[in-house]
Order: sequence, then C-alpha cells, then structure tokens
Amino acid sequence: MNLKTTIKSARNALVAHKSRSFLTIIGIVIGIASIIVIMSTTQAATELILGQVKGMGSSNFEVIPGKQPKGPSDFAQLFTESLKDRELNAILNKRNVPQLKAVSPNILVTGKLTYQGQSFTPTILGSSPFMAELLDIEPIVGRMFNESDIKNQAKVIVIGSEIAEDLFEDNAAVGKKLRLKGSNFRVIGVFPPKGQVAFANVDKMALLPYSTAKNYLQKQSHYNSILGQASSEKELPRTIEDVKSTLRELHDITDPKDDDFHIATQADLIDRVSLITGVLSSLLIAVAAISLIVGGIGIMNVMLVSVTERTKEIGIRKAVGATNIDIRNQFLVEAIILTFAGGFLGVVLGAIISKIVSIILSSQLQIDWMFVVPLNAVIIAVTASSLVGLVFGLYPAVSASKKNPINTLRYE
Amino acid sequence: MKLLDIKNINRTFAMEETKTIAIKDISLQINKGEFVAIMGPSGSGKSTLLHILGFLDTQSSGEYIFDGKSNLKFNDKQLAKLRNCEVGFVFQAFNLLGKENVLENVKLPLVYSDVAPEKWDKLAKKAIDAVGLSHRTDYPITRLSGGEKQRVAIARALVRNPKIIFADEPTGNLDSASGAKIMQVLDKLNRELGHTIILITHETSTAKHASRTILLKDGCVVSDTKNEKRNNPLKFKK
Repeated sequence: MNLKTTIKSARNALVAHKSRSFLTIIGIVIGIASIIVIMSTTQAATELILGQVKGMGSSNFEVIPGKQPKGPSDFAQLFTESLKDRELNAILNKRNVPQLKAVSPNILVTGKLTYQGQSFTPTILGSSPFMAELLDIEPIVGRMFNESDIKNQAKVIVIGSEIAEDLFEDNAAVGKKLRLKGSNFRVIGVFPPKGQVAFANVDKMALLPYSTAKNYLQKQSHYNSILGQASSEKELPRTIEDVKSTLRELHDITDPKDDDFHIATQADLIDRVSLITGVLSSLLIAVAAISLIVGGIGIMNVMLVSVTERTKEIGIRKAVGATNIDIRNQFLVEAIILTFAGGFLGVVLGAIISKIVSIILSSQLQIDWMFVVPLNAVIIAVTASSLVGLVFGLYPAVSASKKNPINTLRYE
Repeated sequence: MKLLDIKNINRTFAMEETKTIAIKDISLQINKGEFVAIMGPSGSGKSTLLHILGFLDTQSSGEYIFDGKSNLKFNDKQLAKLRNCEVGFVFQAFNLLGKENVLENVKLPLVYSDVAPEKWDKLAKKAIDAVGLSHRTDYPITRLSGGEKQRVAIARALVRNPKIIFADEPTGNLDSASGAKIMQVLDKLNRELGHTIILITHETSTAKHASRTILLKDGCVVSDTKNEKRNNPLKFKK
C-alpha cells in the first residue's frame, strides 16, 4: 500500500468519526497553543526589554557597586558602599578618564510626594541633568535643575506628567511646593508624557539634584550607581577601562577578581536579557510539553478504542492482502494526521491568543507589545505534535497489525 | 492439474488446559478448474479447513502444498501476497467495508497490490460488471440488498483474477432467490472463466452446483464424491 493511499485511507477513517477525532486532538491543540503563546510572549517580552536596553544608549555605561553577581549569594554585593564622592571625583578627573563626556551619579530615594493632603508614590531619583539627556526628555513646562542647583543642594524637583496630573489638576505644577520626607521641594519643571524609557516610566518619575538626595533625603555617603557616557561608541571600551583602572587604583585593587564594583553596558544587558528570557522560555516550554504528553496518552487511548472497534475491518483488509506493516502504517498515519491537525489548530489558536494578549497589554499598559509568532515556534510545534502522534500511535498501530486474521474476521 | 495438495494436516486449538481438534489428518488434492463443495454439520471443521487453504490460518501439523509450494515456507508478506493475488474470499457475512461504496470495496485488494493506481478503477468496474452490478458502482454498501452485497464480495474476490475462490457459505444469509443468483455467478466464474472454486455449504441444493462434494464430520473427511449430475446453470440475469 503506497503512502498516498495510506494517507487517503487514514483521512477517510478520521472524517468518518469527526466528533471523536476532534475531541481526541483537543489535548494536543491546548499543548501546542500553550507552546506558541509562551514562545510568542517571550519573544515579544524580549523585544520589549531589548528595546528598553537599547534606550540606554550605545556609548553609555553604568558603574554599579559590588562585583558582578554570578549567583543569588552575590546579590548582597550590590549594597556595597564602594561608590562615594571620592570615586565620583576621580572618574570626573579628565586625566583619569579623558573620553568621559557626561556623568550622573544616582541615588534612589524612597518616599512619597504629598501636596495638600494628596500623595503620589513615584520613582524618585537623585541625579544630574545628564539623566534627562540620557532619557531623552526635556521639561515641557519649567526647566531642568542645573549644576548650580547641584552645588547648592537646592530643594528643587522635576516631576513626570502623571504626577503633575494627579497632584495638580489644573496643570500648574511649576512653582508649587511638594513635601517629601518632611521637607518642601519646589517643582521647577514637568516632563512631557513619554511612557517607558530604558526601564523607567518617565511619567511616574521625579528627578532632583543628587547632592540634595544624598545629603538631605537619604542621608547616605554613597551612590547607588554612576551613569557615564563616553565621547563616542568607539571610545566606550577605552573609557570603561579607564574607569576600571581609576577605581582599582583608588581602592588598591590589583587583581580584577577583587573588584568591588562592576560596569554594565548596553551590550552586556542585551546578552543577559537574552540569556534570562531564553532560560525562562525553555522552562515554560518544558511545562507546556507535559500537556503534550497528556494529549499523547489521550491519542493512544482513542487509537486503542479505534483498533478494537475496527477489528473486523483489520480482518477484511488482511483477508484481501494487507500485510502487518500495511495495517500498522494505516493506524500510525491516522495518529500522525490527528496530531498534525492538532498541531496546526494549536498554532492557529496560539497565534489568536498571542494577538489578544498583545492587544490587551498594549492598550492596558501603554507599552509597545509586539505580536509575533516566531517561525521556529511553528516548526517546533508542528514537529512536536507529529512526533507525539508517532510515539503514542505506535503501540495501538502495532497491536492492530498483530491481530490474527481469523479472530478479527469473526469479531462482532 | 493439481492446484492444492494437503497431506495429513491437523489443526488443534488450545484453550487454557483444553485442546480442541478441529481437523484430523485430512489429505486431499484439488485440481485447477474444479468446483468443490465442502459439506458437513456445524463444528465439522469446514471453515477451519477453508481458512488454512486460504492462507488465513496455518495447520498444526501436516503439509499443505499450493501450486507446488509449501505454505509453511511463506512469511507474513508472502502470505499477504498470496491472499491478495492467488486467492479470493467470499464470506457468509459479506465482510465489506460499510462506510465505503461498491467501487471502493471492490478496489480494496488492488490497494494492497502492485497494480498501478490508474488501473484500479478500470479493473474494479470490470469485476463489478462480471457480477452484474454495473448500475450500483457508486452505491453505498448500506443501501444494497443482501444478494447485492454478496455479489460485491464476489467482485472483490475476482478483481485480482485469482486462481481460486473460497466461498464460506455465501448463500447462508440470503433468501433463496438471491442465493440462486449468487450460485449462478459462481457457476459462471467456474465454467466460463475457469476459476477454481471451493465452497462451503450446508445446503444440498447449493452443493449440486459443484462438480465434487467433500463431506466432513468431526474434523475428518467422511466422503469425497464426484457430482456427475451437476446443475446446469441458468443464464445469468441482472
């Protein structure tokens, strides 16, 4: 029996039992749809995160206290107080780091902004004006704080559009005084609505001079990180090396393994994000694969029932010349067609769900969530579903082929 | 010319601790072109003998030579090929694929043959025509009468132009008129086309169509007689 005839015969048998065939493949449809949704959303999330990372700028870098975490136990290192004014000044010294174009030491401020009894909990960052450049934002009303404000440790603040709308309904925030940790801060500027930029939602962010944040608010001597920008992308590696050697010299570090800081660049972050999303995606796919196994067991059950129901047909086919291999192939092809169809429907269902997810996330979170069905996901899904058919269809098919022709012809 | 030659064959079925002897030491020869009726009461071993002769079963002991070759030397693939092109079966219960139409049922043996697919329809229609069912080619099996179903089964047995046709009580489920038509078809195949036919029947009137009658009882051949007064077949009518 040739393959074309086997496929036609298998298709006819499946069409003759439409409802049963459909119910049989539901498990496979769900399993494949899960894999497609996982791969689609992971890809979209990766694209989104990478988009944010790229917003960091290709000539920028971030000096972070503590050595590069290599495992959960290393995360405590991030709280190391190794970046202080001494380090900042050393980096700012042109003789140490000649290709450094701009710097923003950062201090995370915890607390909420209050105005006339109303409060808002934003992301508050003590930084330099360079931070606004980095985020590519400029106040739409008022101004950004300047070097003079930093020098004078001025109690001024520039707020995001959502904070301004929430606390000052008439939109006349500039000049008003906000309370933060018991001190009054004068609003000197409001950023335009911009949404998410490089890990931060600018609309919910407030920037103030780092000197003010360090001395008045957090009352700490160290910085949480120092953002820097090289004069060009080409100069970035050299600038990073200069910063490293400056800090090592300052901290009497001879072996790089003993570094009490590490430097992140856009390229590093892209690698790390890709690694994390890749691992996460693999784990989720492994979980989804369990449903494929369950679906495969369902296929096996139904195929065994089908073999029993069609015992007489097996006998008839053997009586007119079907070999054991012909019978085995017929049932095996039926199982593979079933699971292949399940895989195809799963891909379609998964794509529809992914599209719905992208619409909901884009509208609800106001982020640019891509709808993407990766080709490799489709290939993996369809191949996996067909393999499930092959593996779980084999036992019923072999048991059908081994049936004795006399007993099968007598079967009622 | 000798087509089948069985020597001292036995067939025993073992069920747990009990053993049932279905065929005891049967020896016989059947020549090409013969029309043999096998008769006997229920449980006499008629069907078991037919299954062995038709390569659906194998003997427990003894020798079966078909067209010069022992059946024990054939593997599954070779036995399937023999069932496909050397022998044809007609069963009492028709054994047709209920979800297919007449043409697809008759084509079934061709599906498992080396015949090129483009010839299948032509060969199947020729076989359907030979049993007088050309007007039913595309009919679903479920819409046919018992007699018509049995003629479809005969057409299926014929489609590969086998050397021998085994008919296991082909008229057993039919009314007398339909049964008579079936016997006319088998007569025609034997007399006009030269097919060797081995027929199992309970009915003496049916056995009269055969040129030879073998009577079995308790798995043994009781008598083996030539039928000199073989029925003269009526001209076949649709």
